[in-house]
Amino acid sequence: MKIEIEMTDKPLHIAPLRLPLSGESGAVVEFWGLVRSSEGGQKIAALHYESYISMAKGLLYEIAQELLKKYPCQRLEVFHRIGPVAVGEPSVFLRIYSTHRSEAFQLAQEFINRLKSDVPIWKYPLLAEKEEPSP
Amino acid sequence: MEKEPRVAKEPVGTETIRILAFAQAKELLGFTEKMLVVDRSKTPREIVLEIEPSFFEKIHGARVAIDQRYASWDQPIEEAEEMAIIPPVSGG
Repeated sequence: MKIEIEMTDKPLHIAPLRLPLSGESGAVVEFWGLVRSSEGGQKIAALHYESYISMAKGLLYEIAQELLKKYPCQRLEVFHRIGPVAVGEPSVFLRIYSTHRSEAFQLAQEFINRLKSDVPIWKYPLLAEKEEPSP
Repeated sequence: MEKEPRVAKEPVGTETIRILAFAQAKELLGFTEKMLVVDRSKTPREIVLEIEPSFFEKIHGARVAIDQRYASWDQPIEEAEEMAIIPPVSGG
């Protein structure tokens, strides 16, 4: 099982899936988390992401290891932006390779849930008028 | 063969710890990082309350991490080097 975790303040440039694969994986599940144009009913220009990066990366890795025991998959790739991310842009990307689709879908769902509930990352809306973080 | 003499462990005393504050905690406490001389028998809750007595009334659901792992607010910090104050997270 391979785990790749990356947190970056640069736009996410995710290499497209290189097909054909070796034949080991029967399913690849991808998830893109995007910035919506409104947050809490308010029109926004971007979200600003803050993180305790060293802990966040360690915890993402631990969560991945734990969930891969429950949902055996071949490979998990996670990318998370920090800093400002404009509306429509991706803030998080997940790609999971597995033998069968079920484990990959379940791993994706649970991994994102855990990321949102436990990993030290915070987001603030940047309003269209004045672009200052408003926690 | 003689055993090496055992070195008595230093008693828990007063040393500096690095305190990190994020998100709303950073706004409320007014710093992102601070070195503080603290008694090692103190808990994270006691340390935070000394800095800001209204912390837990103003920020609900905050967690604490000791040396980058979630920990209890009520366990003495002992040999910790870093204590991070982590308000409710919202990644993704």
